[in-house]
Amino acid sequence: MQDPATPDPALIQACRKKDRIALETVFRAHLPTLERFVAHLVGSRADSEDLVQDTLVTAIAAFPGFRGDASVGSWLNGIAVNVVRRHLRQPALRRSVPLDLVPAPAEPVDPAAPPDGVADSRRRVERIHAHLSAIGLERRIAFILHVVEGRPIAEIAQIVGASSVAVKSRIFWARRALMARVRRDPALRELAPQEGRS
Amino acid sequence: MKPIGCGRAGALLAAREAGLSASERGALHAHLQTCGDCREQARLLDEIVLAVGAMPSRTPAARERTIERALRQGLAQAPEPLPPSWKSRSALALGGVVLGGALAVTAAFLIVGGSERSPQPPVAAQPSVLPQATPLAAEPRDLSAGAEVAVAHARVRAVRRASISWNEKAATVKLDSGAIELDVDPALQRGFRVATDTFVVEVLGTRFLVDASHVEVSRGAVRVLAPDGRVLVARLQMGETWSPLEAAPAALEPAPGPERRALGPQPADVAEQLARARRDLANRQVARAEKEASSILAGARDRRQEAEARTLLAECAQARGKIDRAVAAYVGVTERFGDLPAGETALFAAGRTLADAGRRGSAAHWLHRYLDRYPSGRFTVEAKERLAGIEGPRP
Repeated sequence: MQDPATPDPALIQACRKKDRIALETVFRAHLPTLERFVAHLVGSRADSEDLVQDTLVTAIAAFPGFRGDASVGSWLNGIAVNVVRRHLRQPALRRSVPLDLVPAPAEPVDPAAPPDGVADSRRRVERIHAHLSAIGLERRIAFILHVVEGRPIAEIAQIVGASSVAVKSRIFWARRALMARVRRDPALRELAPQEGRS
Repeated sequence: MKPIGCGRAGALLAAREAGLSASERGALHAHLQTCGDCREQARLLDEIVLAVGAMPSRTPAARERTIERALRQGLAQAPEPLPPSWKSRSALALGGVVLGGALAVTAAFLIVGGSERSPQPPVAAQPSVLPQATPLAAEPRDLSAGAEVAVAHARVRAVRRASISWNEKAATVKLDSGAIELDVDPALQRGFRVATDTFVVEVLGTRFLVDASHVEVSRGAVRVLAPDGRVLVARLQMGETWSPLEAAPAALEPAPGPERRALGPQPADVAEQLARARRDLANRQVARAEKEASSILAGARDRRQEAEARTLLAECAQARGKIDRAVAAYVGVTERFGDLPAGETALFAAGRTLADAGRRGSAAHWLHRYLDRYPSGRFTVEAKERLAGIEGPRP
């Protein structure tokens, strides 16, 4: 089948004309990556589902303007970034601490893991999410795209609409702020020494 | 290898292992051997990436639902953003309409919250509140989770993303998808209904939650009806829950009647539409068949009929000579409806279409997929024959 990174030009043309099957095909190819990306940014499963849907709805309307300069994946991620920005700029959400991506104890866990280990792990993940959500939005986006998603600087620059230098700077400051917060967190200091880690 | 400092090491750490060249990786590892501070940073970064990356993945079916909802919303809605007069109309309504105490407080709070939104390019935005002066439209409107709308003498809150429409004459909110919580003002003593595809909830001053699979009363009492008006539960009281899954199937079978059409297309109507579309395609009226199939998809509630409509669209694409689109559509049917006969047919059709187009490699791929999945299927013999034609005889 067609590589999602290099879609058939006829397929893209059909998407511009809002052809249902073409849109479905493109969305199906990119949805797993898009979902992961949005969930990383907002940290909330429920919100991310809504935001992914909003991203797709926006993409349907915006497809006629898609020139094909970037890959469809990068273009969709760019739309997602705008949708997420808008969402996170709502005052009530700026202060929220996303916790529901953290696997709950009810979800399948390693049966060999002691119950305390599961709780500790959950707590650690919650704390890190809390610190991450406290970093400025633009820095957080660049950090997640580069460090967590492993995307190259040039692609991030294209997605967020900034220069490569600006993206590098955002990642630097995000990393620094996050490290400082994590180090100052007694809960994480207490949890930090993990067996089997160097 | 040239040694690097902590600043450069930090930048390389951020790029993670996979983003580094061999020499960069070597330089970073050499630095980490000697610098405890950077080692600690690397460990913390690992921890962070692990934490942020820890995300339970969604099922393919859940993804398909997301795509379907987005298409329904995106293809139905006008591309323009909300009219610029929206906020002024809201403000006018707030000042000019007399609202009940609690309702007024809610509306005021949410409208203020909505007005703080920064102007953005056209995204799928929904206002948080529809004031009384702007009734909920007859066409479906999507509410994101937590959004509230005021409908007549009730307040409707989306517990999770929901699609609803309002029939003022029948005082009925039609719930197409999602879950909503309603708070109906008992002081007004006027009837109010919520209709799902399988049941109708009738209330008189109460608070309850409803989705397609159940209704849960948190204050007062409700009556649950079948779409044709038969009473399913005479009185469902505070703290009680009812689900159509627990009810006798016969009680939920839709009966013909004037209300039936008001609740959206029914399977029998769709079957007629499908038959018409098939006739159109057979008569080479491809555009008409496509239009018919697309309109079926917009309202189909039955999986078999949805699968058939999608197969029809694939056949239309094939009739137009759009092989890639046809195959993509067939594969889509297989992925979504693999448990139905249509899913089997579509998988074979993908291979057959490619074989007929002379694309032997891709055809063999899909025919093998078919034989792997349906070793004793309806098209096994034909699939083997076609593969023999492509690859030589199979044992």
